[in-house]
Amino acid sequence: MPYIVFLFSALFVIGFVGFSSKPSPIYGGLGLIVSGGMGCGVVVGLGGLFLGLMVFLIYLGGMLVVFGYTTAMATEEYPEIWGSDVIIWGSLMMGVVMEAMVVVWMAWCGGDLVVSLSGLEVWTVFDNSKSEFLREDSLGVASIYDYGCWLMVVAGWTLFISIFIVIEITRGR
Amino acid sequence: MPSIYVNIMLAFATSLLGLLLFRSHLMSALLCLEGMMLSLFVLSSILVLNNHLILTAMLPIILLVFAACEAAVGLALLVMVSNTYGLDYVQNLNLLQC
Repeated sequence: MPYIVFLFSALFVIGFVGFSSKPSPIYGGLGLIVSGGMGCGVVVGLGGLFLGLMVFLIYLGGMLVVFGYTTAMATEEYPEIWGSDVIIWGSLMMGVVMEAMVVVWMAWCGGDLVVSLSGLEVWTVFDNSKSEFLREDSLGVASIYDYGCWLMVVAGWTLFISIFIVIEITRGR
Repeated sequence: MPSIYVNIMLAFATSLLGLLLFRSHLMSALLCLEGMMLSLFVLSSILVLNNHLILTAMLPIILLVFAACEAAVGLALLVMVSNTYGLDYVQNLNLLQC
């Protein structure tokens, strides 16, 4: 189990190298989708089901769809793939070699635990007579409405104002 | 220290490097910025889940909110550049040349 999560994080870095070596943006979007899936796998493997769902729904399903449409609008006729340029090959090879060195170093002489797991759910005792299971991540996010209500107001206001900012930017002359 | 943090921070550094080194498209730089936000989300989620900091679980969600705002503004700027010049090449942004 820790090794699967570490493998997901290694593939996360490989996906990042894939879009940081800057092929055409449509392939960069593909690399970001793969990295998002691997990152979700890391978070879900550590027990955070709600946060993994947030990655897929909001990040991949919301933001990257918008990126995909904008890329389709502003792209060129012959997009360059990963194997087309010496620069892209060089950065890919450098990134993969770097990640392979990190993985080998961690597997051989990283004496600590790969991932520190101490239980997937948290017991919380409410009162003397009973105890319950809690999902710690969704409970923490739900506390935005309780302890973090001012943060929620500021974030909601920021989202609202950013609509007007985007309208003003794209107004043109 | 668990060695998964090394991988996530390496992903952040990789996409920071990709943001700072321009090639031809402005869109690739915006994608690297989104990659940085994704790696910060995963890093803070792992911190919350490993150390059982339950109330800190607000942090990845609020990070996603502000990353969405930033992506929207970046895409609006890219759309305006693309409307003026046809493509989003960074060599088109040359009004302030020496």
